Amino acid sequence: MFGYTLGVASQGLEILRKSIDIRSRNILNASNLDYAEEEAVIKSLAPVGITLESIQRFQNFHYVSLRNDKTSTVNSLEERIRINNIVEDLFQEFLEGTGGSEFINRAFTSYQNLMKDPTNVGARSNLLANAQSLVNYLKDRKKDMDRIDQAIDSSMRDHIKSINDLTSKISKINNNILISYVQTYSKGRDYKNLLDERDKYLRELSQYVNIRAQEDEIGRVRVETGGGFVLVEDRHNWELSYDASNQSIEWNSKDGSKVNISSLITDGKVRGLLNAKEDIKRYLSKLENVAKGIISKVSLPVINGIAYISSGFDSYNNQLGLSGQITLNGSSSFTITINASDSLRDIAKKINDADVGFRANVVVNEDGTYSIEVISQNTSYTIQGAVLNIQPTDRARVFVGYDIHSMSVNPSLENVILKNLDYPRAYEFNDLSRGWWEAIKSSYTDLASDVATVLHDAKNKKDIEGRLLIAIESKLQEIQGVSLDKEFLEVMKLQRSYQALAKAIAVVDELLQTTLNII
Amino acid sequence: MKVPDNLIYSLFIQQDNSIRRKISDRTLDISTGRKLRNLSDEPASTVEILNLKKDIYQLSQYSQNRLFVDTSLSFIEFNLGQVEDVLRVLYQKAIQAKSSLISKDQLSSIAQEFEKSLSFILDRANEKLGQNYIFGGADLTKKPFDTVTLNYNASNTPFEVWISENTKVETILNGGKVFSSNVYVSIATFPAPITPFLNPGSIYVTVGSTSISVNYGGLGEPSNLQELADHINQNYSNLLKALVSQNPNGTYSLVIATNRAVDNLIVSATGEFSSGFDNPNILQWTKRIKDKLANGLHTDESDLFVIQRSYDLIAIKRSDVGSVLSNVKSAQPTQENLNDILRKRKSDIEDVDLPQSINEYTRYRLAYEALMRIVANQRDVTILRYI
Repeated sequence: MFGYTLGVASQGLEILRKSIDIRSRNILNASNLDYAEEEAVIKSLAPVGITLESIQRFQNFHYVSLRNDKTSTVNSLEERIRINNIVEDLFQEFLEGTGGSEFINRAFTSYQNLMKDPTNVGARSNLLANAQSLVNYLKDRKKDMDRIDQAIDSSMRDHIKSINDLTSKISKINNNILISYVQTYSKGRDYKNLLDERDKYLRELSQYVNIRAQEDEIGRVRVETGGGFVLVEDRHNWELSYDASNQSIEWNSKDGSKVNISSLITDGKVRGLLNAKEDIKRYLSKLENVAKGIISKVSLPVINGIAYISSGFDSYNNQLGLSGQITLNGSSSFTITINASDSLRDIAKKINDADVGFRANVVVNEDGTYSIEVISQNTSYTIQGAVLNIQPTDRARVFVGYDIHSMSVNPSLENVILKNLDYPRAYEFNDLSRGWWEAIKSSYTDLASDVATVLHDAKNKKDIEGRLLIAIESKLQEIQGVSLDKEFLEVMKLQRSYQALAKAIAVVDELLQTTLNII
Repeated sequence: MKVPDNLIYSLFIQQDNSIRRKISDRTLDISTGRKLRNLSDEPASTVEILNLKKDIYQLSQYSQNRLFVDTSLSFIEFNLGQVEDVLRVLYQKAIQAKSSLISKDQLSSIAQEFEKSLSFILDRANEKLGQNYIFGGADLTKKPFDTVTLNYNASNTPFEVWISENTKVETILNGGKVFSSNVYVSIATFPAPITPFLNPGSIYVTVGSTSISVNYGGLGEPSNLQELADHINQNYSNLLKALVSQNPNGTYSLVIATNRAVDNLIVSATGEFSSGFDNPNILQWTKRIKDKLANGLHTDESDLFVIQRSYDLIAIKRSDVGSVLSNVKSAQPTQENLNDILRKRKSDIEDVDLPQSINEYTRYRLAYEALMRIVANQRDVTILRYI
């Protein structure tokens, strides 16, 4: 009889010690966000004693998934904001003299000052300087945004690597869960620390990409992203890759094929970067519009015999398919042969290489076509040849080029164009410049407004989604978080039980001694 | 309900972040004086600021144009005033030279004065402001009057400058028009005012929008210069004035002018006057009188009339310039007020309301201190003290 009692007491002490271990684990992990409070589930086996049935984990996987979804959304917005903040810093419109609008305004002011007093040498120099500053500004912004675009690619590769690392870790944990479950099946199935680790990785994974996780009865998860593309199942994981040239995220099948799932990724840092990349592309397009507007519109009135312009063509670098000859009657006579394989750029180069007093540049026109503008150093020089329909024109471009990259101040501006202005038409061009200025300003405002609106909206959304995330995390903490006060009270209770049980052993021992002494 | 420790500290951290961010924003507001520092702060305001910046630049440009026009027209007006003064003196000299008591030597002396005055007027007519000839019209750099022929060689259109959205002003004037006269002289010359006409014909005159024709040399029609001049003066005095004028070579021509200085005149003819009429400018008329005096000829009524008319024409042009100049000057306060309004509007949008920001800064500081005290107190609320 006493032996039986000692057996029950011994079993009780072991279970109570295990319970205290679990409480200690709770206390130790009180500050761990991914830790779920645990509790020993002790089952009474009266009249034979107690048994540790299982370790209960206080968690609601629905809330975990909800939190992960929101984490994806917030991280997507944060990543987009991070990139757009860098872009915003490039456009300092509220610091005097540094915004793009200032460069545009200064260029047009100096243009109008020249048209007011076209013989003024100072006004000419001012126009040259401000035109060059405007070109430099636009080119610098283009370079800056190209760098940001490259940085996005680099970040994207890092993120994809992190995703692959995490899915690999989760697949390993799935395997470990199964092993631990089997090993601890008869000892309360105390493998829940793996589930905390699993949840931590799921949370981290959801920072990068939107996921859907399904838990089986022992805690293994199947993870998939948008469109049902599986990332983790059982002990297997599927990797993602980034194709920078096509700006696409690809899901790598086990058979080696790849599927573009960019459109299925709706949240997470990866979506944030994809969105930011689209933003940059759009900004660059709008910056390009500003540059093309400036090139195509801003021109100066020149006297007859100075400027020539060709017909407009759809491309500046494609083969035109035209053949014929252009005769340049300049400092000497020179005939250029145009081949069908020549592009506008090739023809401009041939004219410049002839070096007989003409300077040719490819320019973009207001209708989006491209032409060759030829500036003659002398009004007595002429050009013959119908191949490009090069005709005299009464205006010369201040800026030349076919995009931002090729944009420059007209190389002939200082030495030819400004010295051959047609003064009587200055007021007319002054009038025209007001329309150009307004159009360019609108074009630039469209860009600045886009940057402002995208960032403002993203920040607002992030504030709202961030608050929702906090609310969900609070709820989750209420479910799975550890209260130190509660844990210490539980420990004190267990301590009392343990002390009482230990006392019972001592009493039984005393009784046993007494019995033995009777003999 | 369970209140996990994590939850309490997370809330503290969130509140701490929120308050510190607001303190940081208000500190920036106060230190920079700007409430808008980035494009995304208020997208609608950003667009408005960009528009205002452009408007301010454009207005500043118009102000520069206005100053340029002001300077140019003031200079033109000054020069016309100088010409006016010279013509007034020349008129007195011409009266003096009309007297038969004046000897040839004295006439020669007056001729020299006329020559100097002509040179002075020519200098004024060819005056430059910067690189621009103020009477060169839109050609700007082309010398307006030939120093020998006194013909106008520059542009017939004035150079215009915009001083506001809808107003452009003639800034560099067409000298050909400024120094033009509405006095014509016949190319045909006659030995004496009463020399009979040999070929009858007609003179066609257009004054403003009115056209008339005067027949001569026929039966019952004027038969010599003097009769023709008298006939025109008697019948068309409301429109025309005709005079017999002695040329520098001693011959006589018919001078026709409008009655009013402001009217335009076109003259052509058939018959005796089919060789047409010259329309000398003010400088050429002055030279004609100078040549007469240099040749020992006295001035006559036509000379006095021409100088008086020249004076009147220059006075009218000067008055026109003065009127435009007055309008240009009156645009200054308007532009300055508009500039103030635009700048104030820009300031209202982007500049900080300092008292409000300081108030908010103080409020957030208090909130921060309160939070920190709660955090400190929370540290003591623990079961550990009772174990």
